[in-house]
Amino acid sequence: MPIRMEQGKYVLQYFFLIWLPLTLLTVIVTSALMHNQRQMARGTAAIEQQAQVESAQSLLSSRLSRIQADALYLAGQLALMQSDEQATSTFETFQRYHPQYYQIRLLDLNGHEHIRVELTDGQPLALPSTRLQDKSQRYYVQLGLQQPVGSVYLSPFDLNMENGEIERPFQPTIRVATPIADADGQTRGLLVINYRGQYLLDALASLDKPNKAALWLVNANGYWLKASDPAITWGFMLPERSSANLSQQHVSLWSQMIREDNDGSAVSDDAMYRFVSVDFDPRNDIPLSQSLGKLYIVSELANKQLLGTSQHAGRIFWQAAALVILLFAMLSLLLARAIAQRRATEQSMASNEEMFRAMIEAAPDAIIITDTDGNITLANEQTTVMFDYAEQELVGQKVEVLIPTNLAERHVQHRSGYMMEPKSRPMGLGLSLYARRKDGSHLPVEISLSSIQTADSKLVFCAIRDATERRTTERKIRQLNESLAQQNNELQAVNSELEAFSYSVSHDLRAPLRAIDGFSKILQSSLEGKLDAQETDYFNRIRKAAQNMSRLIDDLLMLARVTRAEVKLASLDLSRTAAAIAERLQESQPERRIDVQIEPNIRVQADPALLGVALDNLLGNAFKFTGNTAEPRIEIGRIDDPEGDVVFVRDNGVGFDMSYADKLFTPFQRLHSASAFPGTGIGLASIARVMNKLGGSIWAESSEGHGATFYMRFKRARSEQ
Amino acid sequence: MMEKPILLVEDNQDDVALMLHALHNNRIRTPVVVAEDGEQALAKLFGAQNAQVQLAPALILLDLNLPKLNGLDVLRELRSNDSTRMVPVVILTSSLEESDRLQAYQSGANSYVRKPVDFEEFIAVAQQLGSYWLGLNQPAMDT
Repeated sequence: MPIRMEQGKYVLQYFFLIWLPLTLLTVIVTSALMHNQRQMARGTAAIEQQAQVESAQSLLSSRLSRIQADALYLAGQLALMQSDEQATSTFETFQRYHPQYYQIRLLDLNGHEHIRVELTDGQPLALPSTRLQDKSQRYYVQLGLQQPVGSVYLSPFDLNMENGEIERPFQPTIRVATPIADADGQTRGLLVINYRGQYLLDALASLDKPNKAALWLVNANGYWLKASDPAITWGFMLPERSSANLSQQHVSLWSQMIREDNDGSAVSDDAMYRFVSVDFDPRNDIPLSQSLGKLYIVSELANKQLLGTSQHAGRIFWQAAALVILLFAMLSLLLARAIAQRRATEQSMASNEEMFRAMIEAAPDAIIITDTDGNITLANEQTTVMFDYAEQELVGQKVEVLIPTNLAERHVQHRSGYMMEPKSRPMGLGLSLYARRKDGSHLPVEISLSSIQTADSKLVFCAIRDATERRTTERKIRQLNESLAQQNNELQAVNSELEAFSYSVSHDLRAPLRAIDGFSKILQSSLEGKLDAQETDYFNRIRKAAQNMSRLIDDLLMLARVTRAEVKLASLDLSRTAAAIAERLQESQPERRIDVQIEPNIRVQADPALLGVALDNLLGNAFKFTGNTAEPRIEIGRIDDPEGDVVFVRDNGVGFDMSYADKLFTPFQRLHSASAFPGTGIGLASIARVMNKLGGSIWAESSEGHGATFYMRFKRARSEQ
Repeated sequence: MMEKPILLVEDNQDDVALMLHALHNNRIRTPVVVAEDGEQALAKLFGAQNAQVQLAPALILLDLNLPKLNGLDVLRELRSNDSTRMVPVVILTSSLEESDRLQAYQSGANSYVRKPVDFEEFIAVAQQLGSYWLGLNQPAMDT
C-alpha cells in the first residue's frame, strides 16, 4: 500500500514541523518563567533580609537601651541608700526579677568590690566580704569611673573571664558600669552589672529563619559574636579561632561593610547578604578594644537555601512543561494526521479531476457540462470537432447556441423543466433531434442528459452523439424490411400458385396419360393377332412412355410436397421406419433375396413424413442398384460424430463414379442409363431437400462397382447438444 | 326386378370409356349410369326438374375433381340425405394428395381408389370394385 505509506511519511513530517517549534517555545517560556521566578525569589528574599536585619537592629538597640536604663535606674536607687544591707537587698530584689544581669556589684572609688550579688542556681546571692576582690586594674572599672554621672559605659561584647581563664561554658557578657553620685553630685562609687549576653544572642536567634536567612552579629573588628556555625564565633578570644574573621573569610563583603558605613547589601557566589551597623560609641572617645563600639548585623542567605525553594518551583515548572509538551505532541499528531489526510484528499481530488477530464476527452461523444442556467462550463474536444467551435468560444455561452434557432426558445423552457426533475434520460423521447453547427448547418444527434450534484452546485452532463450514420442505417434497415416483406408476400403468392399447380398436375396431367395407356392397351387387345412384332413394340413403347411420365409426375409432386412441408421435429426410431420400408420393398420384389442389416434403436430428430420420404428413396435406390449384384446386401447403422447423429445406408450395388458426386443431389440428374436402372433422377434431390429441411445434411461415398454409402447427419435435440 | 346400377360420376370422357371397358373386361354386367358433373349426379339421384328417373344405385364411383359441384360436395350431400346415406361411395381419383384422401374419408367415403395410369392396373382396380362392393351389396333374392 504505497499510498498509505506515503501518507504515513507525511504525517511524521507534519508532526515534527508542528511539534518541534511548540516544544522549543514551551522550553523557552518555561525557562523565562523560571528565571523570572528566581528573580522574584531573590527580590522577596532581599526584602525579607532587609526586614530581618531591621528587626535585629531594633532588637539590639532596644535591648541595650534597656540595659542602660536599668543601670541608671539601679544607680539612682543606690544614691539614696544609706546602708549596705539596704543596697544588697535592693540588688537581690532587682536580680530576682532581672536574671539577665547575673552579677551586680558596687565598687568603691578605689576599685574594690563593696557589694557583690551573683545569681547562683537561679537565686541572687550576696557574696561574703571575704570573697570580694580588688578590680581596680580592670579596664571597665577605670573607664567606668571616668564616666560622668548619668552616663553608662558599655564594655565590648566578649566572653567572661574567671580567675584569668575563659569561663566554660562560654558566658557571653557585656559589662555595664555607671558612677554612683552622692547627694552633692560627687561620685561615690561605681555600679558594675554583668549582662548575660546569651539573652541577646538568643533573642537574635529567634529572628533566624530556619532553612533561610541566618543572622550574624559581628563586632567592629570583624569577628563573629553570633553565626550560623557557633564554631567560628569569638575568634578574638580563642587563639584557635583567630582566623575566623570576616576580613579573612568574606573579604569583599567585609570591605563593603566597612566602606558603606551604615547599611547595605552584597552578593557573593554562594549567598546574598544584607547588613546594618549599630554604633554604641558614636563619639569614638574610647579605644575600640575597650568599648562595645560598633556592632554589625548581617543576614546571610545562602544560594543553596534560595535555590532550594526555586528548585522546587522549577521542578513543578518543568513537570508542567513536560505535560504541555506531551499535550502538544498529541495535538500535533492529530493535526498532522488531519493535514496529511487533507493533503491526500486534495491530491486525489486533483488526480480525480485530471482523470475526469481525461475520460471526458477520451469519450467518442461530444460532452458538454452546463450549470443550472444553461451556461456551458466545459466542452470536450469532440464537441469542438462536431460543432466547429473552439472550446473558448463555447465556455460561458448558453447551451442554446448549439440548438437550431427555431427551437432555441422552446429549449429554454425544456431546460428549466429538466432542472425541476433532473433524472438521467435520453433527450427528446424518441424524437429526431437536430443540433446547430457554428456555420448554422444542422446535424442529426442523439442526446443523453444526467445531472451531477457537486459539493457547491448542480451541473448538467450532456452527451451528444452524431446520429447521421445511425439515421441512415435505420432508414436502410426500414427499406430492407419493407422489401423483405414484399418478397415474402411474393413468395407466399408463388407458394400458393405452386400448390394449385401441383394439385392440378396430380389430377389433370395424369388423366391424358391414363387415356394414352388405356386406349393403346384396348386397341392392342382388339388388334390382337393382326399386329406384327414391330407394331406390338410400338404399342408397348407408347404405353411405357406414358407410364414413365406418370412416375415422373409422381416424383415431381413428391419433391414439391417435401419443399412445402411444415417440419414438426420429434425423436423418431429410424431403425423401425427403415425396417418397415425394407419389408415393403422385399414384398414388392419377392423374387429377389436381399440381406438387410439394420442397427436397432437408432433415434434421430426428424419429421415422420419427411423421414419416410428420405428412407423410401434411399432404400429404394439401394434395392434398385443392387439389382445385378450376386449377393445383395444393405446395411443401416450409426456413426459417432461430434456435430450430430450420422446414419449411413450402405449397399454393395453398382456404386457410382465419385467425380460426379457433386451432381448426385441435383434434380433430374441420372448417373446410370434408364434402361439399366429406371428412374426419374428426382429421388436423391428429394432426400437432399428433406435433410436440408430437417437442419441436417447428406453426402455419399462410392466407387464404381463397389457399392455406395449414403450418410445423413441429423441435428441433435437442443438438450443433447 | 331391375338390377341396381352403378353411378359413375366422371367428367373426363376418356376415363368414362376406360372404366366401362375395364368393367366389361371383368364381366361386370351391372348397368352403369354416368353423370358428367356433380349437379348432374345429384339430379339423377334426387330427381330434379329435368330428370325423369329417381336413381337408387348399388355403388357410386365418384371423381373428386368435377366441374360445377365437386366430388366432396356431392359426397356430403349424399351423406346428409336419408335415401342415399347407406349407398357405398368409392372415390376414384388421380390425386395422390394426402389431404384429399383424408377429406374424402371424413366426408363419408367408403373407399378411396387411385386411378392408375397403367391400364392393366386399372382393370385390376375395376375387378376389385366389382368383387368387393358389388358382391357384398347384392340383394339376397338375386343370389
